[in-house]
Amino acid sequence: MLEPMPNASTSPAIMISGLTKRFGSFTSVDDLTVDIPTGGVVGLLGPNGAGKSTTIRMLLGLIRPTTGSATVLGHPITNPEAFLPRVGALIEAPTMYPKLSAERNLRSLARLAGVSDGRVAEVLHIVGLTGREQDPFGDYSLGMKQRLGIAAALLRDPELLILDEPTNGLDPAGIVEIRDLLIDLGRQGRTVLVSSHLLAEIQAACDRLVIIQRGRLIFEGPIGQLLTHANDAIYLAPERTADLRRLGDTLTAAGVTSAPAGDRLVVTSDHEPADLNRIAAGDGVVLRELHREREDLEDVFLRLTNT
Amino acid sequence: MSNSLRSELLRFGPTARTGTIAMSALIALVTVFAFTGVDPSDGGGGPPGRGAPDAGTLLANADGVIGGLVFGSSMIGIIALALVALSVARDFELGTIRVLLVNQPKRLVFFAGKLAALAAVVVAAVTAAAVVAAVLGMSLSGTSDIDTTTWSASDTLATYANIAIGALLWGLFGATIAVIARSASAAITAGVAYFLVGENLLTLVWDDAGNWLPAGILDTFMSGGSSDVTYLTAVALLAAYAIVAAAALSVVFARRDITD
Repeated sequence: MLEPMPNASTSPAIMISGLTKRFGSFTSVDDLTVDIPTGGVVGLLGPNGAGKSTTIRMLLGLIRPTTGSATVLGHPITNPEAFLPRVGALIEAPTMYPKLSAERNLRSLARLAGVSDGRVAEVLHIVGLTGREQDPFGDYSLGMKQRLGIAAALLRDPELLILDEPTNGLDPAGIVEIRDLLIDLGRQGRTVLVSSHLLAEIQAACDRLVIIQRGRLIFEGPIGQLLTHANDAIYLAPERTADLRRLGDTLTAAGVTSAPAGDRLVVTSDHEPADLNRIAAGDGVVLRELHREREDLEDVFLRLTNT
Repeated sequence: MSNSLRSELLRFGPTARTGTIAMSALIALVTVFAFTGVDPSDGGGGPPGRGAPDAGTLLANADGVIGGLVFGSSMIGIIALALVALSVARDFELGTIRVLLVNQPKRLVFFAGKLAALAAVVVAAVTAAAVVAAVLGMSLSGTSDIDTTTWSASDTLATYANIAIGALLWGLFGATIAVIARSASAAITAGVAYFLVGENLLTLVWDDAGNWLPAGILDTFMSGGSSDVTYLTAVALLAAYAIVAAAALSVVFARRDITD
């Protein structure tokens, strides 16, 4: 069983200051500054290639920053042996030896980490793999591999859990399972930093969000605060779908920026629906749909990250 | 380091099996060919390698009972190189290196444990091959008119030790190439190409290359010295190469970003 964390510290679990990583001329993480508070689940969000995995690898001592600094559980990331015994991590796709059983893979990692063999059965139970532990890792489905990766991260009963895309490749039921596990871990006073490129997959588990794009911080705060960035959007649909492009051109000619959204157009700039109706009618386009909607979290996330 | 060693040993079952079977099968084949091809009246079978004496002479030596192992020592070295390079590079190819280093962030401690485990695998495989060579050697000696009165247990053990140490050094070179290349196929190709072909080509432009470069010196060491290079000179040169290889391996492994 996972026990609650005793005497959780009030200082941030992770403090990142001006962290930058360049690979040749490509800047993967660009002057990132953010604190991750102790306790609870924090989502690290961003589209593919945003720099999430590079950030996580720097926090785990696998990659050296080009400039900047960070501390994890009070220790600088340049000294990973000081904090990694209290950290569990799943980095990108779960990787283990394909011909060895799940149990043998975990036992090998437990020995490396100085953890008793008895802990292996516990973490297999936590992630729901009891009964399948003798199957070779290579025979596991992607969802089972993800769960085994999380089991490996839990071996040391960590204060801080860093999970990189743990819901990747999972079916909806698997995503819900992982989400519930994350919520459970956060409630126990652990700090969980979980990355994803899809807000919807981790939104329900997260207390706070850190959103990065092209290696730069674009939002950090409680999840509800993201809604303060929500805009009103007006959706227009022409009576005849064939007129969609013509409607877009008409709006553009009138100085209104629109974007396609399926068989509709969406306008997020400050306009009144009646004005847009007048513009469309002026060019002979009859609208079958015209209404104003407020962006939800996913819309805001997608707009902020341009995805 | 003991945690790393215990962890690695848990995973090395298939590697140890492959290495042991490969080395034993090769040595069995070489031993049978060496003994059955011997004709003492004309000096015996063909030469086994650069500058080496013929089969008849080798089998009549004090360590002749494992003459097959001596004949196949270069191939034993190549198998050791491939085995170690494969095991090291596979962690980069599979991405398991990330998980391993998060669980043991002291990189050199981790790698020392891994090398110790691989060394145990290599020594076990060479030992099995030596036993195969000795058993076959004793069985076949009666059919080939080899004078076995010269055979000596202490000389045989000394030769076995040289070949085992030589195989470990081949393994160290394999590990170094694998850490730099991070790819099993590239590491094995580069290692085999250099040790089997590269140095032989160099001898075309530099006659003494085999007396100074690693593959030639390893051969000399495993044979217990030669007329051109004494055993002690070979030991000193190999020690220097081993230090350079270990230093390069340590610096690259400790400092390089883990992006795999």
